[in-house]
Amino acid sequence: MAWVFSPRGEHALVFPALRPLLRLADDRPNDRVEHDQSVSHTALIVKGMPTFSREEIVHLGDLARIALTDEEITRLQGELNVIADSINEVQKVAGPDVQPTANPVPLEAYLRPDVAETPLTQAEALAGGPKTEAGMFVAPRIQE
Amino acid sequence: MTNATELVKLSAAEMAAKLKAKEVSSRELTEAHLAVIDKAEPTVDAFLKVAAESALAEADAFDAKNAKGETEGLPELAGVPIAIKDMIVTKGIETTAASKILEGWVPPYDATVISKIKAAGMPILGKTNLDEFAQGSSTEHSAYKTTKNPWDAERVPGGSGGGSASAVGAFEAPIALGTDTGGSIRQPGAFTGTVGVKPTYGGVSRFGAIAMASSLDQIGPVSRTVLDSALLHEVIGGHDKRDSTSIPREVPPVVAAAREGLKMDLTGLKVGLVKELSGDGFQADVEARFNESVKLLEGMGAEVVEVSCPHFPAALGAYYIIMPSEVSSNLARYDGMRYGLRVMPPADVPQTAANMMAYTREAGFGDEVKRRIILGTYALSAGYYDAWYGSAQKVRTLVIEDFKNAFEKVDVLVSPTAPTTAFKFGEKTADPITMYLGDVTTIPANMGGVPAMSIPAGLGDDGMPVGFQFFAPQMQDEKMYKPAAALEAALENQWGGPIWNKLNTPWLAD
Repeated sequence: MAWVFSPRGEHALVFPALRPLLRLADDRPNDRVEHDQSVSHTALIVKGMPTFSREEIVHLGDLARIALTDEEITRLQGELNVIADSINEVQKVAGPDVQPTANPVPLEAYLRPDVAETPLTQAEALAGGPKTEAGMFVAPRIQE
Repeated sequence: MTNATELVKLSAAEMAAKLKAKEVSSRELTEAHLAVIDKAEPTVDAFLKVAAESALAEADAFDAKNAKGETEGLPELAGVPIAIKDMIVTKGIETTAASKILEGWVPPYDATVISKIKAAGMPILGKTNLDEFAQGSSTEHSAYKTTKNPWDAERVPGGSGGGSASAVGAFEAPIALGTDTGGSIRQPGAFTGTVGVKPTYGGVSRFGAIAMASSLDQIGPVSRTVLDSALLHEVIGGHDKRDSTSIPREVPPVVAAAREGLKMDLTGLKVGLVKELSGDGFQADVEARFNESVKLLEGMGAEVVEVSCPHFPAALGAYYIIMPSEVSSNLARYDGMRYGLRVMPPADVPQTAANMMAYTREAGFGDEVKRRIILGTYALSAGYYDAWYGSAQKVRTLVIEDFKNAFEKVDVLVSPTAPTTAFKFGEKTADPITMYLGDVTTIPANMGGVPAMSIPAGLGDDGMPVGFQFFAPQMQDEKMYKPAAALEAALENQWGGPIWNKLNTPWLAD
């Protein structure tokens, strides 16, 4: 075991067997590509680690529909950079000749017998709704 | 009536035998456990919800059937009470996944495993605590409470299924259900001195299991003995047309295998030590207990060889791509529209549906869940999908090949269940990476879809339990139950009784 320092100054216990997985701050190559609109995504992946800028975290928050606070954005930026570095090694093992596997236990898709079943009642389906009216879910308006 | 403390210390199989002989009623068993829950919860905090009233009604219904001799065809565990991880939906009992976003949600339907448990007349004692949406390895990420390890209240019970493991370890329930996406049944089993099983992917229906990472999630048993897990495995296993990943086959003969194992004869069994899951990074006492158990397997006639699974270390990195990716997709359903929390934006923000979702999810999800959703959103986004999710799925292929190659040489693989014993609260929450590293031993089974289980292998230098893990080939879950039951019996012979003889249980004192 060895101690290394994360960018946030905390000590992290590292298993030598996993060291290739872990590329924490001190191990980062000097030619690390910073996030830059002029650099294509592909270049980022090939040349260095993905770097999460503040703007990128905000964008991901928008995509994920989470109204992140300023404090969360700052914290996530640091954490995601470390996590991304540590899992970036996966790409080195996964050569072009390896086929991806989606389901570890492959099954053939099949159709169930076409027999009617009793679904939830309308009342049951609506029971957990935050706001309902006249047998319907009430949603806020879509447009501003 | 038998003394309640003696009752709760029985194994589930022993309770079932007493029910069958009508020496005890399901109500007595249920009341005894509810009494322990009352006394233990201030210390252990394993339950999010105790369902005393419905549990007693279910017990009475079973007792009425039993009195009339109408229990023909019911599983052996009929009438034995059980606790359920709050990641599995229960009709009429609040189900939250330990998240604020589902606070107060009462599901309108039962998971398939719950329907089977109800059909077996098994009273549901309540819902157990977990890391929010099963995301964590210590149960510290629950939005509601911190579950303590019954062996030391200053230490974590493991995660995400810390509630089920602690409840069973503390005698609040004889058996429980968990869910295992990266080790959430097995690692808490190791940390609390209990047995935890992750069946083959698709071996137990996931209909009604709240989805975390769908290519990895699996429901499985938690117990204090190998046989009890096997008995529960047979209750919940089998094909379900409501789960498209459910394997259309009979449950493997796990109970027969566990009973066979109790004969302690492993002649002809080939056991493989996973080379990559040992050495530096593993606590010395964990390795010592592991090696002692391997010697016991050899003593019972097993042939032990070292096997290399070179891609297991990369499985950890691949898991931390696949899992958050699938989390980000699965948790998109919590949108404040149809169930769960809804938070409207502040007055100066347009009151639109999209903004409502963003403020709902900001308020409803905890830090770890947000971290994973954001990372997963990135990994699945245009331009990154092939390099991240695609690469990780290739690593899955390599892990499956490692298992395939290994199982051509040996019948089962073994490793420590976790590199360490239970750590103290707060020790690993500061840096997510250190928490993630502890899952290196359990993740390969999820990535490869193979069954795996943890049984107690003794205590470490800190007095905390150590776990011993078995892996078996896909759809051959019975292959691990036999040596697991044999090792359990050999260890108990050596200790002069079960591991929990050494556990202090002040909550059981009168």
